[in-house]
Amino acid sequence: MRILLVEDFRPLRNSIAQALREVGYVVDEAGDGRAAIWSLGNGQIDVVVLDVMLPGNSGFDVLKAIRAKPNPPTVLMCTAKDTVDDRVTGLDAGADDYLVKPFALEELMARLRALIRRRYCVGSTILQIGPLALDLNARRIYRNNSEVLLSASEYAIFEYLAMRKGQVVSRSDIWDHTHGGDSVPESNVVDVFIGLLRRKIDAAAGCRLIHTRRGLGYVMAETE
Amino acid sequence: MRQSLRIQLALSCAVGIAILLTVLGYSLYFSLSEAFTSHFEFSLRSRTALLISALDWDPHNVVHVRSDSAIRDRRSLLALPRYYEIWTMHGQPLLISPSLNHQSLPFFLPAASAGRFAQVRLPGQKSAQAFVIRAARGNGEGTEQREHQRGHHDPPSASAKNHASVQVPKARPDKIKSVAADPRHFIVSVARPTGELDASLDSLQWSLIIAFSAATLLSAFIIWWLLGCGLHPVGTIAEEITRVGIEDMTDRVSLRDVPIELAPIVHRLNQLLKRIEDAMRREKAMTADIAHELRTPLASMRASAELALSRPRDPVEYQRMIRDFLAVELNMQHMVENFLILSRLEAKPSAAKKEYQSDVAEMIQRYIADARVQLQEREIHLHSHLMTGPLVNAPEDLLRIVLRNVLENAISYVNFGGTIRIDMRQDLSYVHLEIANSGSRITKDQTQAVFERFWRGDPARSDLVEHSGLGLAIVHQAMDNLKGKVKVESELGGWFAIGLFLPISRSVPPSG
Repeated sequence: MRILLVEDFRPLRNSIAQALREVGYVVDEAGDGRAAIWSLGNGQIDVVVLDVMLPGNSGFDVLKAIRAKPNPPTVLMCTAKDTVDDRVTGLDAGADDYLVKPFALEELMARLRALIRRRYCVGSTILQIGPLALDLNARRIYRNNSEVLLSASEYAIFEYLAMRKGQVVSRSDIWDHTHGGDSVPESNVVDVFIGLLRRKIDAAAGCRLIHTRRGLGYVMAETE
Repeated sequence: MRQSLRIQLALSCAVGIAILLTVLGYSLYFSLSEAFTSHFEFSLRSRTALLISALDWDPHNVVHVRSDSAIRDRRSLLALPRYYEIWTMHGQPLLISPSLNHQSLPFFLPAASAGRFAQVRLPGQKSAQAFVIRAARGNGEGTEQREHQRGHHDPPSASAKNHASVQVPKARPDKIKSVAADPRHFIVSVARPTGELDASLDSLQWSLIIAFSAATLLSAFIIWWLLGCGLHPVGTIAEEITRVGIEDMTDRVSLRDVPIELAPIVHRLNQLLKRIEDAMRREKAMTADIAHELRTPLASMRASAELALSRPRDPVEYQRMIRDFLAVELNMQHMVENFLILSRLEAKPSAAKKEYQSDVAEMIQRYIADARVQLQEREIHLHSHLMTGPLVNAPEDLLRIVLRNVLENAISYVNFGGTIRIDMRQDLSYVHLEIANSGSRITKDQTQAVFERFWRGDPARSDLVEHSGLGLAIVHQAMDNLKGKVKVESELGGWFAIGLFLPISRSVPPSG
């Protein structure tokens, strides 16, 4: 999942970004409003963690730009302004959630997970994919209580495909949401990751869960 | 113990009225008693005149009192006196009234022909007043008779006066001896009990005491009641004041139904409430500002600590995290220190009365020397035109705070490769110091806001972690305390200049 972190106080931005990356999110960072708006057009963002007081364009300006986009990301407004009026203003301006500084990283993570579920219309924290169960909170995959061990990159691709179960997902989408960065993916990098993942998943499930749609991308489904 | 205004005013008025009525009562009493006494004396004189006119002298110099009604003063209805005594000029008694019961009245020669009054005791120890007068028979008797006849047509007082003054030749004291040798003259003493007069005066006295006491009490009650009516609006205002501010500080005491005399008080009270409301709003805003400003670094410290503890890490990474943590802590410390400085400056608005001699040019040079590396790193050109000599009347610590904040502000916000200009001049009262930097981010309209607490031209903290948004607020307050002035000019993209007017030191600089 890809998160845009917009925070002008560099030490805080660094800590949050590192914490998010360590749990497997792809993080884009922006230190001001202009950079945030630029980043929005640069990739497919799932959640924006947005500070209000920003240099350049304010958080509300960024929020306006987000809402103007097709299929906008969900927004977690994260600010030191704590009054009821501030919260109401933030939520009314289009934020999906509001978090007051200082906060626990755990709470930030939980809220992000909730916002990601909301974005992909996933009601439960356990996703059932054939015989496999994906625990979104623990970020683990099980079959009959035994864990299927995946690398961080493999888990990210599996989670993204599982969230979009039944939909054909392009290679660039998979790359944007699971690795990101400015580098353009090599033509077969995604295919290599999918090949590795497919070997582990199909073996664990005993059936084929990731299907190739030639020229389009991949789809996760219990049946062909 | 708090005293009631109503009681105080009522008591004061009652005491005032009591004093006034007492003075009035005494005046009235003395006037009336004087009138009563005058009337009594006049009556005594008239009776004496009547007695003299009723005297009959036989050739043997024996005197009798006629008792016919012809001598009775019909108009005044005077009767002959009951107590009288007649003497020769030598004090030999000629006639004594039977009522005296052989008790003699005191004899003395009146110095003047007008007669003299004296206090005497009558039989039965009755207090009485005696009138003693010298009279003459013969021609005088004839005259006396004529005067008395005329007295039928004159008021009794005139008649009495005539008897007393006309019948007796006026004699100077040195002639008394010769008059005493005259066998035609004699002394008449007439007494009258003063019991009735004393009783009348006592009655008058008590009537006045009772009437005036009652008037005082009644006045006190009326004043008490009137004060109650008059002070009623005060109670209403008190209730209004109690209501005001319970829920909403924007409430004001209503001027409706407030008497015109109390309106200024209510008006002043409302002004005071407005000032309190403003002060509370400022305090509230300041508290919110502090909380807001501290939350971001606090969030950063918490995030960095939680991140460090989230899993085992290698020592290099721990060191980096601790360094980041420390940097944020220093930022917070800087902000708290600045806030404390500002609070202390605000709490102690005026500098000490002592005269100071601070060398502002030397302090600037010292600061520039310390900041040289920073200036070189950002390729900042520094043009300083400092004067040597002028000393300012400001304590060094306070002046250092002002200069550090202004210079830090210039170095922080000057554009990369830009210019900082420091100019200095002086007049009779101030040392003018202007510190300007190029690349201003402040528009002309924003210039006055730069002195507000937590105001940043750039709303973000960005990477300038050392900026608390309090620096220029501190400068403004410190310049107030120094009795100096500060002004700011800015043109977006051009110069941002802060002008300091530091009071010049009046004392002679130490020699050597």
